[in-house]
Amino acid sequence: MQRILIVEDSATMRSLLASALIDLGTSVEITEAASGFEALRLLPREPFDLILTDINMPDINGLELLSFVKGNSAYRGIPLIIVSTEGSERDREKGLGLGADAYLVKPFEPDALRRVVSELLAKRRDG
Amino acid sequence: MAPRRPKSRPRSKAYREFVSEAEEILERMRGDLADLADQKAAKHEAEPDLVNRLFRSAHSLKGLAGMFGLDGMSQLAHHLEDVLDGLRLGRVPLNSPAVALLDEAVTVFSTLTQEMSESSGAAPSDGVAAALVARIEAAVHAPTDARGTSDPIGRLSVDPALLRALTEYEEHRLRENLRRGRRIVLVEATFEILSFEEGLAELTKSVREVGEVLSTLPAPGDTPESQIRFSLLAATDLDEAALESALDLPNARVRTVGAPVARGEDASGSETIRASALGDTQAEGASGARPRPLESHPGDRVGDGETPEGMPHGEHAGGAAELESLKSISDTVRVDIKKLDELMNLVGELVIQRSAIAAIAARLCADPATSRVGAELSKLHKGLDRKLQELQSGVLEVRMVPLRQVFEKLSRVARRLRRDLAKEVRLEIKGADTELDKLLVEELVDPLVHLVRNAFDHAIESPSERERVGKSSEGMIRIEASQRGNHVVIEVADDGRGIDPAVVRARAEACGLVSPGEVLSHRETLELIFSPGLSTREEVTETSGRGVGMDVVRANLTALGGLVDVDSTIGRGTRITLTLPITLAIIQALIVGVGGQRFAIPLTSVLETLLVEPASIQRSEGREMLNLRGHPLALRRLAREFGLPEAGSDAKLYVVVLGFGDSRLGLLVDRLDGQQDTVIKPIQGPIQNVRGVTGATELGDQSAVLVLDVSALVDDAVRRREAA
Repeated sequence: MQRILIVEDSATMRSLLASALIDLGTSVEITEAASGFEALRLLPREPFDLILTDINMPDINGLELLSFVKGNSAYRGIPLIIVSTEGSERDREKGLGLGADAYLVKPFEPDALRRVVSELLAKRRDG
Repeated sequence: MAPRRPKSRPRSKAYREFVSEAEEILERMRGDLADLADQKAAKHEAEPDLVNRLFRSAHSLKGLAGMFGLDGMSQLAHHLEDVLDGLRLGRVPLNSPAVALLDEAVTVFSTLTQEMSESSGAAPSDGVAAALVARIEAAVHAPTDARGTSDPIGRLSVDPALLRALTEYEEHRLRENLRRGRRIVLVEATFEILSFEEGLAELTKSVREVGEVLSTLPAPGDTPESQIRFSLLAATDLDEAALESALDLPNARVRTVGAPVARGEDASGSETIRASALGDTQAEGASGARPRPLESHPGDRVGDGETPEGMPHGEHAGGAAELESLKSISDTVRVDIKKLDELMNLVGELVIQRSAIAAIAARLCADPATSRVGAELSKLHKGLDRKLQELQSGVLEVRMVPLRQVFEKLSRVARRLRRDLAKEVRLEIKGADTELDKLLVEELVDPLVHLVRNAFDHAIESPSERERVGKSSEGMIRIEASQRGNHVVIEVADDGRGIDPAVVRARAEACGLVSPGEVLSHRETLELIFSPGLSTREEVTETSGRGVGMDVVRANLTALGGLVDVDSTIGRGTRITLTLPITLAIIQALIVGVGGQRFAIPLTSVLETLLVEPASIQRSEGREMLNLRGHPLALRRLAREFGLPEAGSDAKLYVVVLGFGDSRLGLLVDRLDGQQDTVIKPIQGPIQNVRGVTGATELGDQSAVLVLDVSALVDDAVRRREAA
């Protein structure tokens, strides 16, 4: 079983992401964090296999979370997908520049989300 | 299993969640917008955090609406986000049209959300949204690119990793602070990973007290498994030493990474502003040479480069061109109400002079030697009269605003109370288009909020209690405004437990307001709730506040020349009725004479006038009454009220029938001297506080007379009846 962490301040968006990932085909466990801080607290507790994060959040933004994950030898290998509302191109460039593994634009198609998540999970399993 | 597409399941739980989250976001935005307007008025600029929070709200709405395939909403949110993005990045000036536009967008959003929740999922009519989108689109364009050649951010001595994690907005704030010559510092502190939030919150708070936190970057601590280090990038006006003593935290390290630039040195020249709105950033982003971690499949919104299908993208394509500012989109002007008051006063004075001209014309006409000149003057006077009336109603009209704003405030209060009190209450609002003088509308907010809170807090029972007595678990508060002649009537009715007259009576006796033997009618008993010091519930709850009771509501209304009435049935509910004049600015008055003095009575309160024989006045229990078409009418002699000589006992008297709210009173006077337009001026000096007088006015012959305060007279009469 693989573990996915969803970091998103909107409750609706969290449940949409979670419900899209139920039909993934492989067995996953989903943990939801309502803020970047919550994610920082959860990271050392569970070995996550994938992180989905929003960018615009009230405490730390998704890029800062990303920078933390990719700058930390313990978490560097966890694939991270930014799921953000189409907005600033600069933010997206930055996200990918900081080492995000994929960038999904809201509104996303559940199929597209599942495809990216499956690919990254498979890579993580095999690698 | 079939792919899950939220947009195909409008009635799903997620959909309901969306509606309620959208409502929450909108509620927050309304509060923030109010703050924004306040800050704009006070300082002509807004706190960056506030604008950023508004931006994030719009951003969340956009994302949510998009996920549910609500195109109209999503478009509107998208444009709203553009405006806010422009504001927070300093591209769009914070001016009144911008604030008004935001307000309007939030209102339209609320309407759409409400439509959705009511139709449980039908796509809302997007027409209104589309119209607003078009206006925003016309309005929000970026000024020309001011990007300088050297970015001041590059000169900061700070770990590039930190700068890389700044969002566009954070970069903007950093530049803005550099431009203003602030010191940029890095505050670093290490915390235990499992308990960092408290310490970090404390640190952030202290930094906020001396400056602006631009970014909070987490990094692994020295022992990465158990510690986490935070780097706060902040801007401050303090120097390093002052800062260190201000941030007296044991584990925090402060380092200046960007020294202030002398203001003369061209800091603004190097200010970098992103030139474009959304559309062309996409175009420029596509050329970026950077690794693409995943192949994107055509049609997928993954990776980069593709414009998502069906998403708006072309509308800002002209964004780099010279564009209009928000200023040009609105053709309304905001005017200080005081200026309108001045205008109104001028009109009033003209009206009085016109009356003087009329009097001269009449004198000239009466004398055969001058009757021709008199006739000409009289004709001129009529023309002047017409134009003055137009001018007067024009100025009055400008002062009129719909009650909608107040009612929206009440909806907000109700939403908050619903949440805080865990009571199910529906707020029904009718007549929001009813117009009232702007000054009156503002003064009405507090009394109305108080009434709604009271209804929530005391009147509406808990859901279980309601079910026990056979009511639906959801309570109802209905607010209805309507215009009746020159008055506006606002009713606040609930279907709660009602007011128990026995309880009111007992409390009033305990407070010494009523003596035990005193006989009071049902209505008189209920009216006691407006007496100072009487609260029908012993415990004062947080919701209704302390010390502010119905007596304050009545005092507020009386000050506006209005009245409050109450009607209640135990177990069925309570209705509070506020009656107030449409405007205080200019009134038509009936001039009456008594004992050689003249008084003005606002015509809006005069129902009719009668000529009566002294013999038809009846006396009962020491009160004078008149049988008016089968109904008893209480009488008061104006001469007695002001200690003036009374007319002989056999002289015919005039009765001016006054009506206010549901109360009636006949005022006995010696003679009627006709009608006049008058401007009520406040009185200064010893008679300022005489009850029954609301102000003074000047008549056409330039004599000053007192204006009677009808609501006080009627009120006193009701209470005198109670006391008798």
